[in-house]
Amino acid sequence: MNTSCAIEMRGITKRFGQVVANDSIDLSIKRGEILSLLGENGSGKTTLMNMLAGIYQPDEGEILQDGLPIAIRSPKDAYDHGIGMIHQHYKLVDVFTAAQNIVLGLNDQKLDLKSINAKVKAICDKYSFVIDPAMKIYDMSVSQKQTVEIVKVLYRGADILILDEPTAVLTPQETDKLFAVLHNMKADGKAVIIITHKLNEVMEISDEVAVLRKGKYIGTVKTSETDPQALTDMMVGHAVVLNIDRPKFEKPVPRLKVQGLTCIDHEGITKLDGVSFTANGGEILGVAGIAGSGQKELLESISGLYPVKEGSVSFIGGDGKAKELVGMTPMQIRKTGVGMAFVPEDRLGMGLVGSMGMTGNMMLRSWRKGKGIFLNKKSPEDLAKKIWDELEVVTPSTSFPVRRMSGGNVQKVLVGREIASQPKILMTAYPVRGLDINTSYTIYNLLTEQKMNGVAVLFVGEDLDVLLELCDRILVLCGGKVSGIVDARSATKEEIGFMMTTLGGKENA
Amino acid sequence: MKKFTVLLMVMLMTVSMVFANGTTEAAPAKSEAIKVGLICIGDENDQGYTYNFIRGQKEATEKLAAEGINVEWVTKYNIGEDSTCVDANIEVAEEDCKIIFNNSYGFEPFMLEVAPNYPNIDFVSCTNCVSSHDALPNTFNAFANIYEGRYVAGVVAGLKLNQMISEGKITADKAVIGYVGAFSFAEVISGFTSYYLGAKSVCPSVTMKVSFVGSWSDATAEADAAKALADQGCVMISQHSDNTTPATAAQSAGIFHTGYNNDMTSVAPNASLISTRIDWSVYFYEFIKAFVAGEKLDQDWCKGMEDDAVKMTELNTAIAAPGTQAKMDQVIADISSGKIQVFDTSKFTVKGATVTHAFARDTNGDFAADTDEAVFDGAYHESYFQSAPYFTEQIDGITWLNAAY
Amino acid sequence: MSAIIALIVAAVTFGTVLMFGTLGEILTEKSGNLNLGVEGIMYMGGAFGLAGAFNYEQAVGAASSSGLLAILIAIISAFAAGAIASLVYGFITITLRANQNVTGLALTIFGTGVGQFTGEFLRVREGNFVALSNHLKDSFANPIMPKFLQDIPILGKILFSHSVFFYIAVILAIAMHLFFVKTKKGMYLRAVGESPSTADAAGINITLYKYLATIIGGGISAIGGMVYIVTTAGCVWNHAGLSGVGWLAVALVIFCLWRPLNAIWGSVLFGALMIMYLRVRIPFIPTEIYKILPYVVTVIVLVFSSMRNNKEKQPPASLGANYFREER
Repeated sequence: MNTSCAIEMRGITKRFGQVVANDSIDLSIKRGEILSLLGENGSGKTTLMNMLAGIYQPDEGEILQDGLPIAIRSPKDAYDHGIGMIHQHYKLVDVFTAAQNIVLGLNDQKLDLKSINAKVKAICDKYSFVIDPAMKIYDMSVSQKQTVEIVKVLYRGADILILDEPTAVLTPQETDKLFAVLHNMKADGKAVIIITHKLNEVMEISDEVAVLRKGKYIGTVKTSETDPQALTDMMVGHAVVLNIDRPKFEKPVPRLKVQGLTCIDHEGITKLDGVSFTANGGEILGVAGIAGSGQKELLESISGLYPVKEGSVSFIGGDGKAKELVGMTPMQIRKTGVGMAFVPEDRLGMGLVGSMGMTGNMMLRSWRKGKGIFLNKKSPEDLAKKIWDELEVVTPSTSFPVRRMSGGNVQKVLVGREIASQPKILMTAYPVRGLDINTSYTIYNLLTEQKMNGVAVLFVGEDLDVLLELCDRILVLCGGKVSGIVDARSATKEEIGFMMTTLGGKENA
Repeated sequence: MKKFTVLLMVMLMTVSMVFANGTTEAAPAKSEAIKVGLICIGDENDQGYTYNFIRGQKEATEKLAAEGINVEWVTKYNIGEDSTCVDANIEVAEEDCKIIFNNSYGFEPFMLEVAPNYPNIDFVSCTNCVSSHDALPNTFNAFANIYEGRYVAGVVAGLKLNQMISEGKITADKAVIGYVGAFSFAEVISGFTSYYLGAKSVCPSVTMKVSFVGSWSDATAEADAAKALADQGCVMISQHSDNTTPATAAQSAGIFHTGYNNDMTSVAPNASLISTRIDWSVYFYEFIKAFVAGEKLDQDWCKGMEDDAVKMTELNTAIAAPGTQAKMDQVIADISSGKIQVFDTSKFTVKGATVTHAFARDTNGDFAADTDEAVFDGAYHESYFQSAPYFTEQIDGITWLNAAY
Repeated sequence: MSAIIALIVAAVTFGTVLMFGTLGEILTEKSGNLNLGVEGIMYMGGAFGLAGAFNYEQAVGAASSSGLLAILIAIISAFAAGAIASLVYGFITITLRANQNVTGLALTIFGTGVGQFTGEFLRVREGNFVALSNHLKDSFANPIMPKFLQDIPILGKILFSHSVFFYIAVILAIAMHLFFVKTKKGMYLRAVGESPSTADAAGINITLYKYLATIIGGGISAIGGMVYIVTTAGCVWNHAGLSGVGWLAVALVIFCLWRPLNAIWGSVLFGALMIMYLRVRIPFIPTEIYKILPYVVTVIVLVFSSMRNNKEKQPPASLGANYFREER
């Protein structure tokens, strides 16, 4: 097995505006080896690989192949250098057959079905997977589509394969099949890079693991010489002190009881699996987890926006009586007097109407209060002015379109609107993502204020430091299941990081 | 600033839309000019109906100018048979026109909405019939004995058919005329019946098929209708519609054609024999001259070949049967002198019987005639009681292929 | 029987016009561009095509004009007019990324105006009808197949009695079908229309394919307008005859499910529906119904194809959407 260096990346830096996605990263990729690229969301994994695939160009640094610097300016260039990437979102034409997709864009060959099929078969046989070249993509399962993508890359003679979160949508059996194929490729002398955050798979399949954190390269270790705990430590780093004020509410009461909540998406994948917990008024319950662990589905199913397969969500009102919310639309929920507010992750898509101003967006909540068919503009206008003042939103007027505001101000408008409806339950998803320090603190304070008013606050976040300092308790999701619920004042970052990647945390390690 | 630009654009667009409702044309003012308005359903470009009116307008103006009367015209083009007609009439009235001619059948109801408000202006609705009998003294109707022109065209067609029979190209029973009609009401029926009778007067075995297309002007439909008629065995095509496509279709099918409103020999030199048209300059001249002299014309005006109100275009001698011109001149003379009655009741039958009685006018608006006996002195007198045609009999020898509209 | 044959023959005449319009639009739509300006393009094609032949005839004199040359000039003039108009559309939607529907409608209004202006300008200049001489008329509109083929009972009339343009259109339809299904470039074009991001990742030049498809498609549609003028309108400029034909072609594209071969019989069917009221009389159906039949049929086809959810019968997936490579 030839383990010489196929690709070397030195000092690679990539910026998107103010954000430094990759900060002077060094990486070596060896032939005949499977390398896992590990890191949290936003650590820069996909960005780094996209530069190998020719989709982005590095701002600084160089890429060397067999010791010589190369420039990869387009996906075609990447193929010329033998690099092929299989993306998370497949790039396939639905109405074409597998064979047609495989040869798409290859100008130097004639469209001869016989030779194409023969070549495809040869590749499949070599690495032992099965596809039918004449099958249409829309008839294929997700796993079969992924196979087509892999064959597409191999057909073009790639020696270095990059797979971005390949097992995210596969069943365990399909994952096993994939791993068998990857082993065959490694035996054939190819270099394989897997971008992932599933620690158990990393341990199972890879030879080496490279870890990125917040855009920086942390280090590479041999899989045989490490364990999940050590990897987690590298991924999340040490705790950082933030100084967020965290008063304690005297008597928290249960407000939201979730039991056995199970949700399945339109492709048949289980997103939430038997989730149970209680959120109390006067408490901020943090929700931690790797992206895609079910946080989005959790909040949406509670607010009536996502179909629930099994389980119950009950709202416990001031009188102590429980109201079942599953099966109701958001409008129905509101009508029954349940005060629920939701600040979604997608601010301008789901939360606000970009082309309307603050007043218009206030009206989104209160449009039914007008007389007959007319809109009542006065109260939303007053509310808009109030938020403008109190939260110091930077905007020329209350009718200025919100999509032209900066991210922080957009969030202030959104949070301000939801708080103004005086909810009993306030749910927020990644509320401080992309915001500057000051605005972030404003949001933390707003949430804490609500908590002290007796509101049950759910805070889905990705920054473990913030979660540890802002929340009272933290619920950790892992693969759609509850990995654990810990007290934020006493938990450690490593503990939570571990629970995020391994179900049950330390106990199940 | 942005709001201002938007406002400006909106105002500009509104203003331009006001003017988009038909264009106006005003001749430079001279002393002693009388202003006359003309509201048209189309414009010169149709080379047909409205073009005919424009020609009449020009010729009348020249003739009047030679007599010292200077006419200044205000003309509106492309006015629809809808409420834009009301606006057009009002605008022209406001420009101090003393007479306003509305050139299309469907303008009359709208014109009559405006007429009461301008009692000193004369409103004329060409080709229609209500104005002449209503209570208002300032509304008029006018038409011409176009059936005379059609009859003559029919004679030309009949002679051609005779030639084809004698040359063995067709047998006598295959002398079938195809007629492309617009709508199935009196004006059209009168037209094709007189055409048929003209052909029959020289070619006794001739029969006719009529196809209605449901529009005064629909080029594709007219072409298709002509082609369909040709496919069904017609060897001569005529039309009561505005486009040249029946002529060209006839030529493509290798058969012959007579036209309406304009000379079509230039587009179908192998097929089009002759056309007939109304010469509106006669009416315009008479009406304006009378007005200037302080007199009023008859509220219902209708003249014929005798007075040159109906004309034939130049005969296409290259393809017409020999002797056609001479015969034509004879027939014209006979019509003018009254020797020939176009709708001579001895010359046609309805369901096998001679027609002895038919009412002419409809006085109660139910589209069925109920007064004025039209049949007397051995003939149906068309355009006698009113200028707009009222002949609606479906005579033997003519088959309606569809009944439209 | 002969009535039916006559109906088919007449339907083909009008159907040929539609076929050009539809084939052009199919090509454009396969690349993901929805060009609603077909109506305007056909007007321009009619005016410029006739103008080309007319000016040619004026230049060389009616006696020495060559039918073949006149046809070629007419085709080229019409194609050029349509291609330029579509180039403008392409620039606005592909490069400037404006909304396709709005741009297409604007092109309809513009093209109709330009076409009518050109036609009327010629007519006013001539002072009379803008028409071609008999000799040229025959070249354009007469059947080109030898008489003995036409005399074959039944099939002779149906297949061999049409003008040269029908055969050109059929050949074009077959060529287009082969292009889409058998050639590499055709497959790439379809990929551009189905999933531009995939095609882009595969290294296909999206912009180039879209531009070419739009321009060539527009040119082909414009030829349809010219064919109308020289067949149905008898080589005489008619300023209202083309109205509505472009929209019929757009409806026909949907009816044909974006397949060129379907356009051959689909256009004849639509042509037949348009003229049925003149030849076939079913007593209790009012004449007006015949004229809306093509559109009603199209709606029914749309409903059925959406209901059955057959992936093969859908419009190109990115139809109407502008593509730009997203930068984060």
